[in-house]
Amino acid sequence: MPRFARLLLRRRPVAAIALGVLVLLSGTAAAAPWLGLPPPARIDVAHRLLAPSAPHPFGTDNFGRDVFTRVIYSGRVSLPIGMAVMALSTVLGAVAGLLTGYYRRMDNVLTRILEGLMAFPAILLAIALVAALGLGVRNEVIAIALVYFPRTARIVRASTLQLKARAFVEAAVALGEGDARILGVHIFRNALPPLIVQSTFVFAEAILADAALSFLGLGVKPPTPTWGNMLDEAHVFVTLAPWFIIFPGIAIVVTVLSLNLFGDAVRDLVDPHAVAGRGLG
Amino acid sequence: MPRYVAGRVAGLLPVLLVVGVTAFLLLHLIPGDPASVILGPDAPAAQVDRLRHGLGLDRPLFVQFGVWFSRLVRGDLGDSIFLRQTVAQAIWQHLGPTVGLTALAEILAIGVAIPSGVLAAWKRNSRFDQVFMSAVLLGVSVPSFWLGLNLILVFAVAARWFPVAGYESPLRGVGPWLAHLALPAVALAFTQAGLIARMARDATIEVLDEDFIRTARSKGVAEAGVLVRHALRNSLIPTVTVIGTSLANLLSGAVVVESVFVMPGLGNLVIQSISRRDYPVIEGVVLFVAVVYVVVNLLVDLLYGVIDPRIRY
Repeated sequence: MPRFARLLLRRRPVAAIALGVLVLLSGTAAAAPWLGLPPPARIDVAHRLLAPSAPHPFGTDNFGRDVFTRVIYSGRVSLPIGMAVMALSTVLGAVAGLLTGYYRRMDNVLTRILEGLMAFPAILLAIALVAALGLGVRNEVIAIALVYFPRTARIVRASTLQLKARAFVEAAVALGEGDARILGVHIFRNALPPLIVQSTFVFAEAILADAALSFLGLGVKPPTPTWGNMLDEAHVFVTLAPWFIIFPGIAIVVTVLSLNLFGDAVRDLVDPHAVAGRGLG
Repeated sequence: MPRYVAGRVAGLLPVLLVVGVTAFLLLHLIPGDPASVILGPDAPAAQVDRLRHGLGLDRPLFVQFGVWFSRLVRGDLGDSIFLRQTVAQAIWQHLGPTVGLTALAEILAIGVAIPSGVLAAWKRNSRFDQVFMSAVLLGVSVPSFWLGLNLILVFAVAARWFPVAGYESPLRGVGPWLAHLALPAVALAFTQAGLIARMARDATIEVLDEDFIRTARSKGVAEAGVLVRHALRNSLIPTVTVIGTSLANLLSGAVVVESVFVMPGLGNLVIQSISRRDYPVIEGVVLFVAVVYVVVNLLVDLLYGVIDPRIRY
């Protein structure tokens, strides 16, 4: 990895900074309990809705809890949710993409199903799935991953279709290698770069989806802070405490922006011919 | 052309079938017995039985699907459990704000995105282009509901130019209607404007390298004419595709933005229905929006021929 980091730093300094920000964010979130911050759930009604000051750099909320602490602690919920969605949708998308790209017969059925799933507007489908499956981190991850994995599958399918026609795959077929080895080794390895790029974008989308769901009260519930549910709590106090709205939102934007910058740079490095802009929709 | 249209419509049937099955299965994803989940743990057994029978849950799955589907084909989305109306009536009643919001956001997004995208392409790698690309990246990274909260903070609370929340029917005056829609529409449009603008920029850059642009320039067509008449028209095709997708994203995003601005639209209906466990309504709205999306994308596909006479069906 250090070689990659050096390459990134030289060729795409902005993306290297983005990666640094991501490491810093996850690091502080992971180490939050040992950073000497005030406890995120400590209620102090006498000091409610205080403006930012030295003891409370981001101010306090309607229960007098420290907003800075809660923004940091939110990363302990939202970032793992984003990672879990990324992992699940990457695995599902890779398997579905490899199968539909390689087997004509699977393509007819499975691709229709994936197209059908993609016909649902993203957030709305996630909302409906969470409503049906029930609230909770596990169901939220499943819901968001189900929404985004068809997009990953489409990208892997396109790579598989291209790779299937390449000479080295035909050679492997001629040598009598089994389908599992051809798909798992020859095709999968070469389809990896666009898959990795797509995964960072899914991570970014998952952070946004998690924020929207918890803002709507369908994600992790208070008192456990998440960026989305902090914004939901702050909504009522829009006139009294603007800082309560601004800081959790900035945390979301910084995370998502860094992921997008990083993903764009990785794509440029692994595939200089790719058209700029992320693969949405 | 009619043959092409018929073929395209037929090609949509499997997608619509998947959409229908998925929406139908939503109710069956509920862990345990949906009827007792809907009515809560304290409901008397007789009432649960009655609801289970009313929803048809006591029949085999494929029979349920058959009944549900044959009603669906006749435009019957079923009855709301909580509201004393059908799902179709509930959707119709909440449609106005969402359609207004989505339409206004789409107009805003296109109105800002296409000119700025073409301009950025024309001034490729200039300062304007750099600022443009940064704005696009910011656009896809800012949650619309948070942008909405900030707009409320600045333009409704501090400046008092717009109402903080709520909705007015256009029947009671276009002015107040627009005033209530302005901030949510901007919040909703931002991300999609970024996506459309980048598409317009990329498409225009490609077109600007074409021979006919050089020909137009060399025969002395003014630069504005080159951009508008020659470049823009040709770059519109890929851009129109994004507009089709963006409409779906806007409809979906409206759900969240409506809740920031407390608007009585479809989003509000869905969120309220979730807290009331009114699953037929959730299912109906999701299905309705997905079908609208599929139809819009079909229309977008058919629009190609109008924009680009080279495409013949």
